Amino acid sequence: MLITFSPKESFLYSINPVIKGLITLFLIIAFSVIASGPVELGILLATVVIFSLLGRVDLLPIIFSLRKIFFLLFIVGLIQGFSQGEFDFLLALEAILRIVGVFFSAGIFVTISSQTELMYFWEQTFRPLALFGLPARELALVMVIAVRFLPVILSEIDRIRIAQMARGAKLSGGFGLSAVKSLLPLMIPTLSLAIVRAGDLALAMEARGYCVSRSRTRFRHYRVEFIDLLGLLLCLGIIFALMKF
Amino acid sequence: MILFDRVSFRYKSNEETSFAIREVSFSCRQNLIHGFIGGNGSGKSTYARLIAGLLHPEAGKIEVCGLDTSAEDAQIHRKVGIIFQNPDNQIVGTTVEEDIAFGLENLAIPTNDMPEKIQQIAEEMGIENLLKKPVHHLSGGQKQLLCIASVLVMQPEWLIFDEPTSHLDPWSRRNFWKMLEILKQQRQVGIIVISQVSDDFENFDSIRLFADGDLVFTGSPEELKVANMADGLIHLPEKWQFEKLREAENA
Ligand SMILES: Nc1ncnc2c1ncn2[C@@H]1O[C@H](COP(=O)(O)OP(=O)(O)OP(=O)(O)O)[C@@H](O)[C@H]1O
Ligand SMILES: [Mg+2]
Repeated sequence: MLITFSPKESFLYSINPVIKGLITLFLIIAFSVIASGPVELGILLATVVIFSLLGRVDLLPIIFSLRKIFFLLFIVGLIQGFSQGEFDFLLALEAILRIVGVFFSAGIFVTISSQTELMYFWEQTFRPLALFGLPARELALVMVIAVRFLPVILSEIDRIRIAQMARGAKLSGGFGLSAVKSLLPLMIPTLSLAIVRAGDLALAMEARGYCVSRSRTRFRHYRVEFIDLLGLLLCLGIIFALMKF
Repeated sequence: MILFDRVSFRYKSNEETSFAIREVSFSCRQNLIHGFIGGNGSGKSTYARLIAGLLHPEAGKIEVCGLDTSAEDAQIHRKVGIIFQNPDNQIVGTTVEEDIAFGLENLAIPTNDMPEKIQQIAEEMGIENLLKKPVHHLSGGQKQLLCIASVLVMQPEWLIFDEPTSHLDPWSRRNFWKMLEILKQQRQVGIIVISQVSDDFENFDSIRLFADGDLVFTGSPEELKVANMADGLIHLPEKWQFEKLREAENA
């Protein structure tokens, strides 16, 4: 199961794309630096899960995708657990919760944001870069194409892995460097395919008149409504409340 | 009208290969279905990209509807719609209506006018009940219809299809040709279809055969039938080969 946009009607889905991105950013910061200790992290994660369930977000693909980073979680848990000499279960749990929290926040963002919203999000967030003379819209386009092809790349990795396993390659076993090494043969065909596809998409966009430096109208208008600001405040409020706690 | 005037072109990244277009001239009239045929690597897609203004000639001049493709990119993108081989690599939106809207956004059509135009084109292509669907839930044939709708909504004067029939089953292939006939009559567009499927040849009004970047034959399907092209350049339809054998036998 892949984490992709699945359209639904709910308060979470209808938040302004930029606010969605900001909330996600704040959550990621909260998970990685602000919250500390398994209890705070646990409460924050639970809050995120409850809100997404209320917002009709399908969490199953995200939970299933955790399997893909299971190895990473395991290693980080071990390293953090042993960081004080003796194995400390709470430290290991804390490290794992941080990663799971960031993973959930990003996964939910991708699930509730359509392609058009993501494009809008990147165009808006990169806009300030133009003040420094950077090609903001071009950079946004790169991000859009990267995000567009992430699910394609992941499913491609799966497909090639199954094909390689059918030919007798042992890809699932092994830890550490050997696991990374066994993934390398997958990365090369996948990446080259992704590059070809991204090039094709950029060409198709150009053929349909997309020009990063020309102004365009929008099929959907994203205005920042009162409710969006409320959502942002609520999110910040929860994070601050946790810090006091 | 499409006009190639002594056009030369080669890929910069690929100078060592033999592929190059050298001083090729020809023209295509509107309101006809033109077939571009030829083997793998003969340059069909390259010609399509040159016409669509996505590549520019090294020397010579290409004119589409009186506009120079090297000078007027934006206008050319609007006049020439191109539908690439793989639908997955050209669908930009997440839902069907968003994808159709993409071209309108680029043309800076006011937001309020978009829904009507989208509805209209969707009805014309028979995908009006898919408008809200996420694009990854569409079948291959539906994706192709979406790609055509997304290009048609921009009201181009030329439509280029890059191997549209190669992954359609025979039944969908027949529907595709029916649709092209209707497009040609109702919209007064010029159509170019790139194809390697010999069964398509009889549907063309005019055929151009390419080999290694060169234009080696221009004419009607009837003329191609009797032209005795060198073996290996193209594979003629079974039906034609059969007719030839019969004639030889009778003679
Ligand atoms: N972007 C590119 N950069 C460099 N060389 C290219 C590029 N695209 C195509 N070529 C080369 O140019 C030649 C013509 O390619 P083109 O895609 O036009 O052929 P085609 O007739 O469409 O073939 P096919 O039937 O396989 O689609 C080939 O030799 C190909 O390798
Ligand atoms: Mg081609």
